[in-house]
Amino acid sequence: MSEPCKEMSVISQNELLSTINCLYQRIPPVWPLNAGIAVNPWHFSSNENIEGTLAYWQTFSRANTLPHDLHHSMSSGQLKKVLSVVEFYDKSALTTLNQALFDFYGAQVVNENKLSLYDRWYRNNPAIIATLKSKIDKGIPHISSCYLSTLQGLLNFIQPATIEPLLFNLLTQCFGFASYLAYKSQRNLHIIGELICIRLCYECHYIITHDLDLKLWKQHYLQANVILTKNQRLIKKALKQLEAKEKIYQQSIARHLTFKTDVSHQQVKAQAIFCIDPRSERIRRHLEQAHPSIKTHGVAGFFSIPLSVGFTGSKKTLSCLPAILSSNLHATLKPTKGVESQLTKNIKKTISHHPFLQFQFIEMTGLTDGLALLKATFSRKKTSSKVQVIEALEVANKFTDNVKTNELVNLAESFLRSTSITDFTDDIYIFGHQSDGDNNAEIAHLQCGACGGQSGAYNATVVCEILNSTEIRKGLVSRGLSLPETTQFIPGVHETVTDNLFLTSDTIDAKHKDIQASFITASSVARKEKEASLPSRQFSKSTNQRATERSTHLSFVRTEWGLARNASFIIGPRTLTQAASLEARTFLHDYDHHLDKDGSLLQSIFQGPVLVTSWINLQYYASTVDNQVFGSGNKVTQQVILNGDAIIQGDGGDIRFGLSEQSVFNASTPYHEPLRLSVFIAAPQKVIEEALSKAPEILQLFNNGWLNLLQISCDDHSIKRWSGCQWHSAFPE
Amino acid sequence: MAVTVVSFIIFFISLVAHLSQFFGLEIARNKRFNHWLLLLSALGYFLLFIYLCLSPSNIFFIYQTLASALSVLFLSLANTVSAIIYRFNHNYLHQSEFDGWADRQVAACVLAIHAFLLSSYLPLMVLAWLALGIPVHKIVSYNLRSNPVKWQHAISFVLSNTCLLLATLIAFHQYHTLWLIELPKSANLTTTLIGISFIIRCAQFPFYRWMFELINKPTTLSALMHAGVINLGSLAMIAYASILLANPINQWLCLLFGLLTIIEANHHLNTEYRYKHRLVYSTAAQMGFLFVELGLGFTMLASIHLIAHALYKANRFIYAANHPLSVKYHQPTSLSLSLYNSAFIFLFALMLPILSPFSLSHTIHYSALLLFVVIISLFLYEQVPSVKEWLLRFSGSIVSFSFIATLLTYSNQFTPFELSYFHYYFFTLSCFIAYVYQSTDKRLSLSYWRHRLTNKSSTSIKNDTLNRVPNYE
Repeated sequence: MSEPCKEMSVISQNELLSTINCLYQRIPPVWPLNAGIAVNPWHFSSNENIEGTLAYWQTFSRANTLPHDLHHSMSSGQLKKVLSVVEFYDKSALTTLNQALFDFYGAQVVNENKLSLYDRWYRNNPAIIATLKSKIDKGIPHISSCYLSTLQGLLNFIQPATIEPLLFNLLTQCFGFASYLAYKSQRNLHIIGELICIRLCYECHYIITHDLDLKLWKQHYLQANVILTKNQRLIKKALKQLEAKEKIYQQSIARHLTFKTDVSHQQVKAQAIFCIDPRSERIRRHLEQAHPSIKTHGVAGFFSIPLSVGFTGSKKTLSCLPAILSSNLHATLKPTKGVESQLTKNIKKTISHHPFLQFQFIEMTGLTDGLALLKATFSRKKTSSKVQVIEALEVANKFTDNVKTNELVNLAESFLRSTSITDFTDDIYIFGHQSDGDNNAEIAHLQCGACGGQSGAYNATVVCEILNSTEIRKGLVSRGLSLPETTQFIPGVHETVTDNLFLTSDTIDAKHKDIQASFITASSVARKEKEASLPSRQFSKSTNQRATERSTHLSFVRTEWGLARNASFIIGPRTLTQAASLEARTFLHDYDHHLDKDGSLLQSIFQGPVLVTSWINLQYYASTVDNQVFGSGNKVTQQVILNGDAIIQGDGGDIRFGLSEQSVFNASTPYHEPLRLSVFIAAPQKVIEEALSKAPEILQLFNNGWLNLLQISCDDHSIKRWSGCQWHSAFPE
Repeated sequence: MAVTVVSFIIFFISLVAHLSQFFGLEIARNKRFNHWLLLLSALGYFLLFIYLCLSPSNIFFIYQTLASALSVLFLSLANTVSAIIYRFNHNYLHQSEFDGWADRQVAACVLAIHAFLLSSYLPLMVLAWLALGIPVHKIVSYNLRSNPVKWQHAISFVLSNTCLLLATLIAFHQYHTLWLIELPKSANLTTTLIGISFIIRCAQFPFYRWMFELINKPTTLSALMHAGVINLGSLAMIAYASILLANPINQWLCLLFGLLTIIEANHHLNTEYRYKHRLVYSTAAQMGFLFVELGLGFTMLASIHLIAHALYKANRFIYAANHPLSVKYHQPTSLSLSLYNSAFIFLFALMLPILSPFSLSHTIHYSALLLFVVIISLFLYEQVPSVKEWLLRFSGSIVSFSFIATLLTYSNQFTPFELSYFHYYFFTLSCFIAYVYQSTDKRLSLSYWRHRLTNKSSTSIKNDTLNRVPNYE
């Protein structure tokens, strides 16, 4: 007979809940694939020190958190891991175990049900429950349909201090599904607890049925804290090396900066506004060279228009705005021939999934499907089709009743202020950017990050409509912004695979011919520059054809490098960077501190663009350092699941988020250089500090080492670094 | 004579193209030339098919007109699909571990298909059948995730080949012939063995799970398997229907396996959440339907179904990374729908002996069957199509369909064209009626069953790990 337990349980339910809350804070936020928002996997840990967070992941999960070269420079085996018993002793069992779990989750997500996750699992697995009951419940019945009490029972075998690492480890084995379920349930705390509980039940069941001792856990986690502190020390050392690399990069940026005291007053004929995206840097540079009287500017690519786009005859709406904002402007666009109407889709869907009609459906459409495939594979298209689609779009419903003119004026004002333009020329081109490509599940990662993984073309079209309206211009005068009557805003698209610049309106008269010509020259030069770094095996030899093929053909897993190699963010006037080639590694935001005495504009730049770019940068970092955990693996063997909401590798496993191998690796060597973003700001220290004090969440990022902050002083041309809440010389001798 | 020469030239061209791809020659890897060569030979095969339908004659060793016409059509299909795959892989597998390897397997498969369709000489068929199994097994067992799947493929492979070999031996021993088409109608044992051999390799119920392992490989390999390899056995069934399906045991086997597969696969299809898994289940169900058609004796319909399904699946697999059109998993009604589905197919199965007396021409029975389908469709129809949209699509495909059907009618002695015409006629009718009675579905909510089954079922998850079945309720 087993003797009854002396203590009730080692952990109370309240403590357990707070532990689960801690774990839940470590689960990154996710969005479905088509929203494609770049996610910093450590977003909720940004209030912690970077080495602490990385060490925690490094120790208690299978993830690797350091760049490969830094990892190798340490003698191998120094970074130890503390893993759960199954993961430690029997890796192959883990795969099977997790597969069972994932199949179960998958069925859960599919069958939205009133019963909670754990409840259903509990009912469906009487065998496992019975085994656990016979071994764990000694006197006190713990294993029940309440997940908290089950957790309490199972955790009796472990010391309270090591509970959190153990549960964290179990959670990271399935954190793709955990994130997805958290997203689906609007971040419900209990769903994470239930997942952990199910996973722990499997773990215990495995240990019991394989005659291992539950005491193993205790031994296993005895050293946990020692190893954690040791790893933390090692990672701190490694981060020093990373910092040294970043310094080398920062120095190269510093060398490229030019401080023009005498601004050459060349006649500015036209202005072009681009997104802050690193890919814009290349085309801007070449556009300025092709036509020196064009001045280019960089602002966040959604142009301050939180837009949601719908298509007539379709239920689908796109949210073209950063994830941190909510949309208050809706535009309905006309569908064109290329877009399949909702009606056709409905018919297809209904018939093709009908128990009986599906058979006849295939007999009917199969032959045409074959011809379509043949055409798509072998025909060569002259231009990318999607740009033509946008050309035909019309903003039909731009002034809805709930958006008053006043609010539109607000939007227009905030956009114009963010550009820091003081003298407006007659023609101002606004280019949203988009990436064309067919048959790519992760296309959203290549689109405009500020537009929530959509094309920036819609926002550019709508912002031009707003700014060209006389009513809005009247309203702007009262805000102290008077636009010349001759000024005209012209929307356009920067297609990033071919680097083409298209105008989406067809009101171009003769006087723009030379500018049009310079667009074409700039595009072709930029294309050539890009082609050199892009490994692709194509039949055609001409750069133009190769790029067009990549943007239209269905067989490409890497159409472009996207934002890979991004490493810095320069907030300041364009004159600083105009003379140099920054290799499309730099986000550029226009900012003139003379127009921003109180730092409020800088504060909004911090809270918008800087936050978004830090997410992008850390996503690239994480996907590069460990593609198996933070990336989505090889595109060749990916499979789309859950209506295109998520991706898995092959026929099973955890839901994968992040970037694919093709986005960050060239063959097997990393193409993206994992560096933390260096934010350069051309403004006085006082203004920066004031703006930072108003944006505490960004200050945290800087202070905890997730980002580097550097100040460019326009007076003495020196560069200062923000570290330890103080300004130091950036590159001490 | 001239036809034989032309067909030999076409055959030779495609042989050269596939062999150069197999050996990874420079011309195959870095030039477009090879792809165009394959497309040319596919076109040549198609023209040859039209010619053979219009004026039946014998080419190569095959001296039965239906067999030769269908074989040539299938070769045209195989060459088209493989040309698409080679072209696609060229960019798709760049820098991938599968680069070159995948093309080699595809070439091996298509060469084996060529050999298999070349003649009805049994020893050659056995060898070709074996040669086709080897690259398939290589593909399945490359970087294998779970071992049972490998065994499943190996078992079906060995079983199928043994049956075919046994059939050959028996044919030689008893009937002193090695030609399939020379077998007498009374050679029941031999034809049954051949039938079993073909059915096993055609993704029928217990033998289709190895296809899930293909999902771990590049999507083009799945496209080839679903478009050209899985259905080869059923093509041979159709081509030699006058011998194989004259055997009532074979007809029964086709019906049995077909129905079981439809029930099993459709049941999973309705609740599956992974896109490619859905496609695999769908293929299994489609092949099941094809075998039901065969069991009922509708060889011409089956041949159209075969070609159309092959192209459809090739398209779906190659486009698999495009977000699939929004699929409703029948979330709230998953179980009731599967239940309907299975129940009605079961009824359907019960009615079969009444409907099908195994004569090879029975328009009236078929119409009755279709009426039955129409009634079920009415009850199960969920959403309403627009009449205009529907007619547009319908007229487009009826043209292409009737073109092929007319051609096949010429060469086909026993299946009249009217049959398939009725088939589509009723299909359209069913959609129209469904349009009128749009609200029928609501009345059939089986919440009672759902509720009951939610509370009572207790399937262990552990059993599901191996066969990858999602655990629903």
